[in-house]
Amino acid sequence: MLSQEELVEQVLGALEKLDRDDPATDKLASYLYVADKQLSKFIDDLNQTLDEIQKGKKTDSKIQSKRILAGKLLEQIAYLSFRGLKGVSSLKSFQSAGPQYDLLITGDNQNWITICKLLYLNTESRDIVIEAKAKESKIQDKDFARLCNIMELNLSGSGLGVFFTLNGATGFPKDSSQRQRSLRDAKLRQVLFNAKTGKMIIVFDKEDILSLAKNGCLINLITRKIRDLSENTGLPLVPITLEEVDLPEHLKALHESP
Amino acid sequence: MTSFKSGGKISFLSQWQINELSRHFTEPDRTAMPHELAIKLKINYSDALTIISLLETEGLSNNLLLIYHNCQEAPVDTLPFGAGFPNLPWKCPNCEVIVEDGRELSYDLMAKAPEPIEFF
Amino acid sequence: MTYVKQPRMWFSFKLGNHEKLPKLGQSETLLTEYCEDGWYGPINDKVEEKAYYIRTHTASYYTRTTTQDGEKVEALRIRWSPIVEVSKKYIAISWNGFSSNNLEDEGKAEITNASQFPFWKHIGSFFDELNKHLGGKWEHSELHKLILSDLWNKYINYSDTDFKYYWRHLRIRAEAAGVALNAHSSGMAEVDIRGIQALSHQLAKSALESIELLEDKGKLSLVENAIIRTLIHEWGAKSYEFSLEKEEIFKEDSSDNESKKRKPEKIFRAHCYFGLKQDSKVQDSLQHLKCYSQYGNNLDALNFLLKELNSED
Repeated sequence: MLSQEELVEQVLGALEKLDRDDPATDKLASYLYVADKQLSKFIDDLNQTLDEIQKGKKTDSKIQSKRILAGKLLEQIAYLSFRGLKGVSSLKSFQSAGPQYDLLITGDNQNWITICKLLYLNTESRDIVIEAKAKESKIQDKDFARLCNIMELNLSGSGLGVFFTLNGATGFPKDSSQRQRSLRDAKLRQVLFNAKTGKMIIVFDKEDILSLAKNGCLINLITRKIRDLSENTGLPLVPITLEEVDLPEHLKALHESP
Repeated sequence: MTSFKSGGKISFLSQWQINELSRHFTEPDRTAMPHELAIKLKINYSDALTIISLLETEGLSNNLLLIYHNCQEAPVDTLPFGAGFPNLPWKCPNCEVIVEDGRELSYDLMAKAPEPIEFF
Repeated sequence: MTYVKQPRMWFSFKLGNHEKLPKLGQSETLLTEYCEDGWYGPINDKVEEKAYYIRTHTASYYTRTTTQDGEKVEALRIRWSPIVEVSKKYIAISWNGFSSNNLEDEGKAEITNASQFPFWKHIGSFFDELNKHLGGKWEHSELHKLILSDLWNKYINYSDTDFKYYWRHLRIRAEAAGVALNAHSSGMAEVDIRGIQALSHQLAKSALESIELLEDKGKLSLVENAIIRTLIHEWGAKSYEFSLEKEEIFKEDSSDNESKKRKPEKIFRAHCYFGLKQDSKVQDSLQHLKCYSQYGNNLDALNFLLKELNSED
């Protein structure tokens, strides 16, 4: 019998011999995430704070401090959940120009290389950037744009960006059983960025975050969302809104006339 | 009824090792833990773990995570393979103590093959 | 009354009678105060003609706490309360175990690792104290004979008109010829439905294979059973665990047409320490049993054993 750490070491060793796409990989990967003990409590605190924000009046001064608290809690949740990922060597804050703090997850040993393989990252772009946005509304194209910029310019070694949000991002399909037939807003930027740079940005919403309190789920969650991204670009989608934004109305009329 | 396992994915094994694997799984309802295969095939634990994982994805075995507690030597509980570690706090079904510290628990894996398997 | 009748994990029993049931301390005060160690009771159960006593014993659990003044070692008190059930024919002490630790000697305030509280050092003296108080004449039954001989011969591979009985060997601790043997099966059906029989099966198979007699399935079964007998009966068993279940036999003319298999009914499961090594420093010095909640803990286990003992007479 092995301790948890010993079994994790052996699992990492076993994963080196397997193809990424072998279903055995996903099963072994479930042992590479152990939810931090404190995570449940932070998630409960976040839920409670969000309830209080919803119940309170918008102009109430306490609401502002609660919003700040919610933001901090979400960042703490993001930190703790990636700390539960085995193979991570370093989690540190990254601050670009402006008040926003992001989290940068890196690793430098063989264990991290194995994790990268699981997360479809290549060795040149193997850092993960986390951004926590405790906005009640969906995060928008401009938030996405900011992260794309950082990942391309400031953190060129990054290959995966993860948004921790409450209500997802604009343009992302809500109902995953239905095929989305158009790309728009933040979703469009996600796909374009991936097509252009090969880097991936995924979005966690509240439901995803709740599931992080259970062992085994983080890697599976990330890979499902990455596969979803790849499947979208693989489909012959017509970016209708892209063409529409191209020309304002008064010019479109000229464009369409022979 | 004998099931077959292709040798492609386990190409890191020699012919002798492949024969030994077949010999281990000649009868129905055979079980295998990684350290058992490690000893028989003279390989290391993680390679044995690879083999056991592949058996399940090929549909040849049902695998379990065995959970051990310091209250007895034999395992106290199981979880299906691929479902991660037990979530804490966790109640030991043998001694009924609630475990809050993961260091009190240890683990191992076991493959159960209902049908004989021939490897080649 | 509810408190004393709660099921517990461990028990030890002796057969015999007693002269009196003296008052030995107000049991109600145990609920309101932290009383001194000693005997409390009796609590009488007139319906079942039994009396209960509670014996309290304080054990210490040392923890290291960090305060502003630095680290210090604190001793927490744990009250252990074995319950004694006295009837006209037997006496049984039952208890739950716990972990305790000690301070290393030399007053260096080093705490040892937590380990099982050594209840076997105390239960024997509790029986002696009860002898004096109650004027009892009790003796342990021959548990090893009851289990390994009487029940073994009665229930292994046994069926009556309504039920088929399943006996599973789950654990044996034995010592003979300078070799200690410990075979332990988890008892979980998902892991090993046959218990230790899986081991004897493999040994038998290897033995017959070596002399090329493996083809004869009948011989395999005989050898397998002989090996199990040797492991359990002939190697100086110190303790043995088994489970007994019965399953209703499917009858052709039954009105129940459902084809789903009925779950076997659990009768007994306990790890029986035979107490044959009186001078042992570990659990083997005391005859006692460890029970399982799915099989009714000490209450059902004791009832089963008493019933079997009675049916012998």
